[in-house]
Formats: sequence, structure tokens, C-alpha cells
Amino acid sequence: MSPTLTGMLAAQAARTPGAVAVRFEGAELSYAELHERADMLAACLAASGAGPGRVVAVRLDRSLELVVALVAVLKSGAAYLPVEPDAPADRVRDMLAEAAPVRVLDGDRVRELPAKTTPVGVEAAPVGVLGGRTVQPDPADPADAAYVIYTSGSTGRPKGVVVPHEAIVNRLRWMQAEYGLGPDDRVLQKTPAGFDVSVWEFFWPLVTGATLVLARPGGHREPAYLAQVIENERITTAHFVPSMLREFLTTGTAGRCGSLRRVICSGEALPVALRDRCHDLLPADLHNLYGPTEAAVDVTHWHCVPGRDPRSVPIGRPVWNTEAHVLDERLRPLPPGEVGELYLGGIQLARGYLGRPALTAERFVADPLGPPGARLYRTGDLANRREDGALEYVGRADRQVKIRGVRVEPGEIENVMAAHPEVAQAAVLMHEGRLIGYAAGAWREPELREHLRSRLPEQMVPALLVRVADFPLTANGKLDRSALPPPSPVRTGSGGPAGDARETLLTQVVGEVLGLTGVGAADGFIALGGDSISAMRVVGHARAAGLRLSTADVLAAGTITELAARACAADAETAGHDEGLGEVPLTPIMHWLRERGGPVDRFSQSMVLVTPAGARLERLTECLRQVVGAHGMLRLRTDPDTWTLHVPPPTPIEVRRVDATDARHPAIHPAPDRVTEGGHEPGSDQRDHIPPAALDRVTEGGHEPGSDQRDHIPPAALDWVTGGSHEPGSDGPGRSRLAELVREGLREARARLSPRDGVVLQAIWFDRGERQGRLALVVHHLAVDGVSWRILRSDLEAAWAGRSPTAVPTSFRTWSRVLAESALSRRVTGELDWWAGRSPAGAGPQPPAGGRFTVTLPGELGVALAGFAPAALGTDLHTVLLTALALAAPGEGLVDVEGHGREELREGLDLTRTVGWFTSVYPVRLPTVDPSDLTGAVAEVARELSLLPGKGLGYGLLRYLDPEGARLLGGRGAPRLGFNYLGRFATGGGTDWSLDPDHDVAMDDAGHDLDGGVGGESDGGGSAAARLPAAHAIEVDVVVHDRPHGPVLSATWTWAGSGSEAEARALAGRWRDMLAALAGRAAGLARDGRPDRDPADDTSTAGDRLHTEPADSGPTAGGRPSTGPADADQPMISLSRAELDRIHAELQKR
Amino acid sequence: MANPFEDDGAIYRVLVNEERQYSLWPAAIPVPAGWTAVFGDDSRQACLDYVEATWTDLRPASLVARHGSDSP
Repeated sequence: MSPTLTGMLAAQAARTPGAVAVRFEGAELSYAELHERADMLAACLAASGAGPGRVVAVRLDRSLELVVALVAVLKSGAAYLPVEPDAPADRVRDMLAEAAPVRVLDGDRVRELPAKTTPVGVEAAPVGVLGGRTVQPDPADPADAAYVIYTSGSTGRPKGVVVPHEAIVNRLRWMQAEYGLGPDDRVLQKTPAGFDVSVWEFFWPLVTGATLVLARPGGHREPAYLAQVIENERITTAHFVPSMLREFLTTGTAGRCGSLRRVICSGEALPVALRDRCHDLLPADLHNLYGPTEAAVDVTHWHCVPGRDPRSVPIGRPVWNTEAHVLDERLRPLPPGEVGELYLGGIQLARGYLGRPALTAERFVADPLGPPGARLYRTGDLANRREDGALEYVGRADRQVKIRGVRVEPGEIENVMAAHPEVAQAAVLMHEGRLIGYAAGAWREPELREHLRSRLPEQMVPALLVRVADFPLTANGKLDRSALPPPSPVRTGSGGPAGDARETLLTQVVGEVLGLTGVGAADGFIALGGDSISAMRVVGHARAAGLRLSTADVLAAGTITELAARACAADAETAGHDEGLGEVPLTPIMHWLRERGGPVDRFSQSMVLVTPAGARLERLTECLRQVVGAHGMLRLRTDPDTWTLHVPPPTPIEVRRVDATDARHPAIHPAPDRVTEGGHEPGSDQRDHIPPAALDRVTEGGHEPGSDQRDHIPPAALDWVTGGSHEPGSDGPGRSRLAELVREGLREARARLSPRDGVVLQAIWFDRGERQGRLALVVHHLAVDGVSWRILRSDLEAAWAGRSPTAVPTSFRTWSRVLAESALSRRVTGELDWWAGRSPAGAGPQPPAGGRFTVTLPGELGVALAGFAPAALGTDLHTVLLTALALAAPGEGLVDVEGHGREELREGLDLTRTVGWFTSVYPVRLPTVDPSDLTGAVAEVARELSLLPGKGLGYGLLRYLDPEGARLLGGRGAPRLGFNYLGRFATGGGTDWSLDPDHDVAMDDAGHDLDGGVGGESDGGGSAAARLPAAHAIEVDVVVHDRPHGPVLSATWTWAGSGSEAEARALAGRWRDMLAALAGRAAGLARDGRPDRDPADDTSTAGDRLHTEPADSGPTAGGRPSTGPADADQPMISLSRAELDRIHAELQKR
Repeated sequence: MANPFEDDGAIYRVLVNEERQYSLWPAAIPVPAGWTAVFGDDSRQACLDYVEATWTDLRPASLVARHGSDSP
């Protein structure tokens, strides 16, 4: 007895449990993980009645969950019924009514559920683990159905083809014997699950130890995306319907898909020219396969060899255990060369059509040629056999047509058309590759089109609708389709003149692609006869002309005007946009982090924004989706072992909603479920669903961080906050209930971060109904820095206002590559001696014991320092702060200084819009200064900073990216002191999208819970071993928050290792005294009129201040080292003119 | 080319095999080995109506035997 598909899957999982089974947008599951999840779900399904002979519907977009769900249904013993999530509701309802699935695994439901369950090992019996709601599934028989796939039905409704295990097992075994996937093969899954090609895409890799790579939902219609995913994911095996292959090969980037070893074509006749073009462009073997859904995907195959078969590409010879006969009208085999109807026999035949015995009996018929009692499937395809035995496809014997590889029965469309109340009679014909619908009656096109679109898949909706008064009849009274008038050979648009240049361009492009004249702005692409293939061409032409669109845009837009509007948004979004997908080389600061060792999962930064009153979760999610879509690093995924970074294409994101409507009341600790709820309405869905707990397991793989065995670090271990003290009044008992909720949310969000799972961003919305809410964002530090937060804040505000994020001219990935190249440049290697002379001989990373406290300078002192003092002293705040440190720590020598790191290393780099971790760290020699000459001290420090070559960037480049530099500088440890000036942040004011005054931007450089630190409360202890080692014995982070009542300067001091609290406190005290002295000196200078400029200038207006030290967008993750007093009038931060203008405009809006 | 199974004017019968699978069959063509005529000769539609009414479980008989008759 042949095995089942389920058996083959399990056998492979046992052979290669640790191998990668499936990848989706950078996330992946091993064979063991896939099967573990599927086993859990299968046990729940079995408890719900799933088993051999039953059907479970799966309605999920391409995702890890989809694969888990399919495998789980098979494991339950039932057959899976794929339902496309975007299928028209009526069609779905009919399918479900006929197939009567015991359960529907539905996407909405999966996403709604939180992910937290007890991990269950592969070996563990699933029985009982979910509180008695699971049952050990019954195994399927090889003759039991594995799947049910619906195809178009000529009599007016789709029919479900029931395919047994033994049929698909034969097909997969043949494919493996013929093409031989190996462990290093990667198969692209891009065919929607509702079409049977998807069956081998899903399961061939999974029964052979190869890797299944899923294209993103909708991605199968975007040739440029496919080329990109093939290149990035190193796909070796991909399927194309010929019409799609043609579009793919014209993307211009297909030639980069050198990883492809084999391209499989099926679904339509493969033209000779296309075959040759494929051979020209790709190094892959090309195979032409043929088969109907009724015979387990494919039954014949042909290896396309360059230079052979000049006339036509055969469909080839039968696969294993399969007969293919070309028969005459009396079912007798025809000699070679003669055309007859193709009949198929053998083990791959489907059982028949679900619930349709008569239809089954007329298509699956007695076999006069095979063994007694055997059946043949009559395909309706016309073929002839060549002399060498290879079969050639000739055409159809009936009216069935193919639209981009998908079978379409015109009769089905006619029935739907005729069901419209205003249609008296209908007929559908294929004309020049397009479906033409003819209808009599008083119908109006918009209503009829909508009627069709709500009931038929997109490819079955006629491109043109033609009104006929009377249908022509044959002599015996039947409809004479051949006498129907062909649509006007020269169709023209009629939609009025184009409004602007973009519309003009698009009317031209659409006209060109569709071969029309007179296309106007009010014309619709679909109404003009466009389809998804021609939509791809519109995308390509438009892109060549500088407009960015997606295929979906073209198909969805009702008019050219609407399309132009979409292009407009897409234009701003992506013109000159550097997506930055793929591997990201480690930058020096990342090496610096790696060198520190220890766990980095919670090494993060956070920001809390005020959200508009009455906001809705959906809109917030969409805004965040746009922002995350524009900034690739927010989707970063790391490999914790090899420290490789990867940016995948965008995936769905989730904003967690926390109900904070009554957060004012001093209340009890929130129940955990209130903090983690997804914010979805309780399902009013009547469909049957499987128990929530079962789906948790599925959810986990995709959207949630692995919360079980993949998470090696006990959560408590990293929430180390050292009970540091806090300044009286800086915060404290007056904190509102909302602030507590937010703080709690931030802490939990940090614990969910898991860069290895691609979870680097967490968003929690504290919904306060008609009052302003809060949006808390936590991002892993590998993905952001201080400047990034300013970009993110302003992008979110813009998205809320309906403006898409503007282009990111230089991606972080590009930047990291430029860094790697410049490390070897002569300019940087020339700095080696300089840095070697300033390299510390000190200690390496410090043990992560210790603590921290925050000092907020008294109001006037903060105002002076953040206001007039630097200018009065002829320098900038960064230099003043460092001068105070030099005065406070005489003889300290070297100090590590952090810079924002966004330097124009190369012409053309524009980092103003780039989100990522740019910080640079470099040693600075603090000069020995004379406390009695404060202005002299400032000048000394300024001079030292001005001597730094290349703004300090070269140090990291040499130390981490240059072999010679690594030899000389590596392993030298770090200075005992670290200094970081983060810059200024505008907070408070309470306006929408401003920073929440209760939560300072948390730059959690040490990997501990800074929020707790700010609040001065302990989060509870943690094991020292699990903490991230500190870089310095003592470190100070300085930030200025521009609050409504004036600037507030605060410094957070951290000690670790050889540093002690006493030392840190003593140093902090001296530093503050020195700042007070410097401020006093500055005040004196200002009074004496010594400074070059009137100090009043510095505090007058926001607009003025912008030019010395921008308040909101003055980007720095640690101010730029000044190049000396001459620089004092310049912005402290290097900003492009455009950036300044943008910030200025933004400030004006407030 | 006319297909022998698609002629509304022709005469058909209904065949069944050991797996209790049914087949429409043109009366003009000899019955293949392993199949038995159980209905007809009659019109195409009458034959299809017979199948629709008679063939209530599309699973092959051997599978039904292995599973028992509890599942559909």
C-alpha cells in the first residue's frame, strides 16, 4: 500500500527535524517546529470532528500559519479545502455549503488570538494537553481525500475536485525522482492555495528536506517583487504560468535570478519564443508540465532543451503510473499525428466531484483500454501524439478557456450574468485573450459589473460587457455564438480629457498597453478591457516613465484619475526610495555591541506619543504600517549566532490596544489580558472555529515572538533595574494611572522583543476613547537611534494626516555597505596612527552589575545651559558638557564619546530620512584644564574635538572593519568613562503626536529597563549573568527635553564593574558644580557684552533657535563634536538644507 | 470532433465497477471489462438522473470497507 502525504511529511520531519522547512518574509520554522505546531492544531481539529472523510476549510493568506494549517488538516486525517481570502463572499458561501467542512481555519480569527501556550515537544502525545479538547487523530487511508480544490464548472457553479492521498503521493514521488530536490534547494510558493499547482509547491519541498519559501500575499502578481524575492531568498525552483513567465522575464531584473536551477511551466501552452527567451535569460532548466486538477496537478512532462522542438513545445510523456490516450469519437487510440481528445488514466485520477455524482459519472468514465474496472478522465483537451511518443497540446474540444493558466468555463459566467435581475439572456466568449460578456436586457454596466465581481473570481469577470438586443440563433433554435458580433476592433476610450501631467501620462500608458486610442481620465482600466497581465505592463511602462504603481493599484482604481491619485501617493513614497532589503553588513557600532557579549534581546529604545482623541485602532495600525513599510530596519531580523542581519519585505504589523478609558482612577493592577488584548471586536462570526488555544500555536510562528522554547532568557533576568535613586520632583508618586499603565506596557513590550524572530518593534496603543490616548513604541536598538525617533514621530504624524512617508533616499543597508567600503579607503586607513595614539589600554566590557540614577539640573541652570550659555562661551552645548567633565575628572585622560554618526561619507548619501542605528563611538582625550580659566578650558576641549579626524567615524571603521586596524585597535578595551549627549527633544504641550511628558524618550543603551530608571522604581531583580555587560565603568547620558515651561537638562549616570555608586555620585556632583560654574561664567560674559552675538537671540523664538540647535528634529544620538568656536553659529547638528526647511515648516504648523 | 459522451440525441447506459463507481456510457460502444450496465438504454439525461439518485457515496467500495460506513 502506498503511503499517505501525511506519512511522507512526517517521515521527512523525522529525518531532518532541525532543517529549515518554511520561510516567510524572513521568519522561518524548522521541520520540528512546523510539525509540532501542526500536531497541536491537528489534535484540536480532531477533537472538533475532523478525520478521514471529513473536510476542513483553510482560508488564510500566504503565511507560516497557512502552511501549519495545511499540514495540520492532513495530520487530522481530513482533507483540506483551500478558500482564497479574497474570493467573493457568495462563492465562498456556496463552496462551504457544499463541502460542509467541520471547521474553517480563518485568518481573522487566527490574528485575533494571543500567543501563549505551553510548549509541547514533538514526541509528546497531543492528547489532553489542551485540557481535554484534543484527540489523537485517526490516520488517513491512501484512498482517503487529501484535498478538495474547486474549479470552474460549465453548468454554472464551481465543482470541488476530490484528490486522494495516493494520487498526490504518486505525483510528488515522480517529481522527486525526475527533478531531485536536495537539502539546499529552495522552492518558491507563489500560487494561491486554491489552485492545484500550489499543492506541489507546498509539499514537494516538505517531503524532501528542502526549504519552502512563501511569497508575500499578492506578490505572485508583481513580477518585480518575484525577481527580488528569488534573488534575495536564493530560490532554486519556481513555477510560472507562461503568461506570467513572460511578464517576469521582461522585468529587467529576472536576469539576476541566477539561483534558479529549474523553472516549471504549466497551466497554458508554452510558446516557443517564450521558451527560448527563458533559456536566454536564465541558467535554469525549463520544464513544461501538463495536467488537470482532476489528475493530481500534472500528468505529462517535457524537458525543454535549447534548440529542440522548433515548431511547438510538447506537453511530453506521462508521469509514473499514468496513461495518456489520444482517442477518436469511438474511444479508439489514434495514430501519431492525428488530433483527438486526450483521456487520462492511472493512480493520479481524482475520486470525482464533491457531491456531484452525475457530473463525476460523465467525466470519469469506464476505461476500454486499461485493466478491468479502471476509469479514464476525459480532459476535453485536444492533442496529438508525435512519432516519438511525445504529446502535443492542440486546443479545447469544448468551450473551456484559460485565463492566465486558470480554467474558466464561460457557462459558469453566463449563469451568473443571467442571474442579474435586469439581464434577460447572456453569453460569454473569449476574444483575443479576453472574455467578452454579451447580455440582453435593461442592465446598466456599473451594476452588472459589480454583480459579477461580487460573485466571480477576478479572472472570470468579463473584460468587456456588450449589450445585444437579440441573440442570434441557429437553424434549430440554439444560441449561435459564432454569430455574436465581435467587439469593435478599434476600441476607444471616452472618458474626457486628462487633467494634469500624471493623468496625461497614464492615459497614454493605458492606451499603449491596451492598444486603444482616445483613453480619457474618466475611463476605467478594467472597463477598457484591462486585466492583471496588462496591469503589470502598465506598472512597467509607468515605472519607466518615473511613476510608481502596483498591479493592485491599477486593478483597483476605477478611473485613470483615481489611478493618477494612487500614483501620486506611490510616487512620493517610492520615487528615489531605497528599500534596503536583504543582508545588512554589521556596522562598527553593531560590532561594538557584539563585542560586549551577553544577551541583547531587550536592548532597546522607546518613545511614547500623544494620540488624537477618538482615534481608531485600524487607522493607527495603517499609519504605523506605512511607517514600518518605509523603514526597512524596523523589520530587521538577526541571526543571534552568526550576527547576520537581514531586512525582509514588509509584513503585516500589529498595534496592541489597551483599554485605558478609565486610567485616571487609581486602580488595581491591570489584568494581564487587558494589556495583551489585540483590540479586535469579539467575533460575531457564525462560522465554526477551533478552540482559541489551538490557534495560539499557529499564531506564534508568524506575528508573535517565539514565546516558548526559542526564548532562552527568562524574562525576569533582563528586567534588571537597579533601584537607582531619582531626583526629588523629577517624577514620583504623582504619576497618573495612565503613566503606570504605559510604563507597564513598555516593560512588557520590551520583553516581547526578539530580533531573531524579526520582532524588533512593538506598538501599544492606550485607548482613552474620546480623550487623547498614548502610543508607546519600543524598538530594538539595532534598528533605531535618537535621530530615528524624530523621523518616526514626524512620519507617524504625517501618516495620520494622510500623507505617505516620503522617500528614504539612502537605506541603512546601503549605508552599511558604504561604511564597509570606506573602512578600506586610504582616507580612513590614514587615520590609523592617530587613533592608535589615543587608543585606551583599559579594561574590556564591564560586568553588568551596578546601577544608575538620573540628575535633573535645577531649572535656571538647565535653561542657561540649553539656552544662552554655549553661545556666550563661543561654543556649543556638547563642548560645554564635555568641558565640565574634563574639569570634574581631572587626569581621567580618555573618554568614549558617542556621536550621531550620520556623516556624508560619500557624495549622494542622504541620511536625513534613514532609520537605523548610526551611533559612532570614539575615544576623546580630555585635556588637562585649569579650573580658574573656564573660557580657556572650553577652548582647550573645543580644540581637542576639532582635531578629531573624520568626526570620529574612522575609529570604529578601523577597529571593526579593517584587518590592520583590528590588529592595532582591537582588544584594547574602552576608557572607563563614557559620554553621550543625545540632543534635544520637544516634549509636552499635549498636542497630538507630541512626546508624552510623562515618558522621556528612553535611550536604553545598557539593555536595562530605563523607564524603570526614570521612574526611579525597581522592576524586580534579575540575574547578573543574563544582563548585557556595560561598556564603561561610568557612563553619563545627557538629554535636553524642551518642555512647555522651558528646557530641562537631565543626566543619567550609570556605573558597572570597577565603577561604584559612590564614584558615580561624586563625579556627578562635581560635574554639576562645573556646569554651574560654566553657566555662571557664561552669564557674566553675556552681561559684559563679550560674546559675538546677543544671547537673547538664543532664547527668542523657536524659529531662531532652530538655527543653533533644532529642538525637534535636530538629530543626534550624541551631538556632533564641535569643530571649534568658529562653528558656533552653525547648527550643532549637520542637517541638510531640505531637512531644516522641513523642520521649520513642521514647527510652524504647531 | 464529436465527443461520444456529449451527444444529447444519443442513447446511453449507466455502468458500475467493483468499486461501486458509476460511469455514463454510450450505448453504441461495447462495455469495457470490469464494468456492468445497471441502467439504460435511455436518454443521456435519464442516465444522469439515475446516477444522481443512486450513487450517494463517491468513495470507492474498498475504502468504505476499510473505514466502515460511518463517514461520508
